[in-house]
Amino acid sequence: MIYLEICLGTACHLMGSEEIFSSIEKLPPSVREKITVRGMHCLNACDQGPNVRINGKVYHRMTPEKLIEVIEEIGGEADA
Amino acid sequence: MRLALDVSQGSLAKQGEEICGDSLEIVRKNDEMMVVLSDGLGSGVKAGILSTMTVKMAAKLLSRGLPLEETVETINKTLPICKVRGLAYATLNILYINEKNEVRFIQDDAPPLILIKHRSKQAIILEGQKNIIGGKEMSDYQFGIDEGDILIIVSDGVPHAGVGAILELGWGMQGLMKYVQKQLPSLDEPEEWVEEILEVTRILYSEEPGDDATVVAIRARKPRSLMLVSGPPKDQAKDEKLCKTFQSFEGRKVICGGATANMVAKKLQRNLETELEYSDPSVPPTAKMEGVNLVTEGILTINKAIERLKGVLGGENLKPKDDGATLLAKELIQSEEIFLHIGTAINPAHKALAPAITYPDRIQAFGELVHLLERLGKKVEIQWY
Repeated sequence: MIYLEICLGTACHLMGSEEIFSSIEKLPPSVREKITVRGMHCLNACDQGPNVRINGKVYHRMTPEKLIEVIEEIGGEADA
Repeated sequence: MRLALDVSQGSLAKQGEEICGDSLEIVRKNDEMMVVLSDGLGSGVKAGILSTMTVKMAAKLLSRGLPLEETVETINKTLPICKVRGLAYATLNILYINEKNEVRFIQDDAPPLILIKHRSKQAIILEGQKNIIGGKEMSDYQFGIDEGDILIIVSDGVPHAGVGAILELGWGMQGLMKYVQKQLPSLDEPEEWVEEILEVTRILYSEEPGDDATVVAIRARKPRSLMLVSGPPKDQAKDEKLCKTFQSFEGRKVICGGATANMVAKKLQRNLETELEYSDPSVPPTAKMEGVNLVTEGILTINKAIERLKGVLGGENLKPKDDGATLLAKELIQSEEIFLHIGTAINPAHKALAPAITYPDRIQAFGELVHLLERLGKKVEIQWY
């Protein structure tokens, strides 16, 4: 299971957190169902946004492409 | 107890016309409210100009303190009369509600007023007395309203809907009343009443309105107080005091800002649950906290709420959306006393991002917000931390 938290604070919103959220919704259902998404306010790294936390690890300057890579990586590890 | 009044309005323009020939102005003065409605003769731009001129003049006179009857007399003497039809080029209808919740409605040739009594869940058509006011015979209504009551004013285009098409004689006031009575259990907000009645009117006209149609709904409710906190204090030692003030406040409570919400959640030991719904992609999602009516993001949402309030001042209704900015604007509109507690701490990371991202100025935004709220007749107090 992947536990994804997306920061929805002002800076992260301006730097594209909504695109990160939308990209999750576009994932194939088989991948999407493995992810629990939660919004949050501030990971205390506003100058490095958009920030997300995946299974407890914080990732900065996230993009939809980078997020999919990380999810695939974690998903692969989990499957192995 | 003086009741607060929520007003909503909406119009349909006659098919083929770009603008509606009905006009409306709302005047709030001290604890009184006046709604001026005019139906311009005919339709389109000419009718629109005549009715706008009528409501603007009447609203100006009323806002300057001219008594109701003298205002009606002045306008009646001023309005030009159509030589062919012998009618005034625009009608004049004024609804006045005072601080004792007494209503007076002076009406010139328009459908009767509908009153929905909250307690009995009954809708009634009120009958006005024929009185000579300002040299003209007008319907004069005088009655009182109670908490939860809703008043509905319609222009003649509403009961005429369906004439010669779906219904031979239109649905008339009887049809409209049947509909209102049927909808009573499911509708409450004035915006909903306006939208629903206009929607049925549009359908009865087969999507091609044969006349301008306007609906105004006014709801009387208990006055509300609201406390809004936004931004952590510059001096961290004041966090505790701000949170305690917020906790003990009796009324609606709103937090604008993620850092502020985190601060309150930590100090008051409450859970903060962020929603993930984007009703409007330009407005960050809201959050939930026990004992708080609304939690939103900060400066972006506040600026969007300011845009929504400007629309309301310009005569628009709030859209039935549930993004943070619309919900914030609604909270502010539905409160009479507003206490703003604004922190001035600057997020150092925001400062670091300044060359790349321009953040709207918080102090400037709240200055503008206070100005708008005062124009909406609110009592506003602002305290900086």
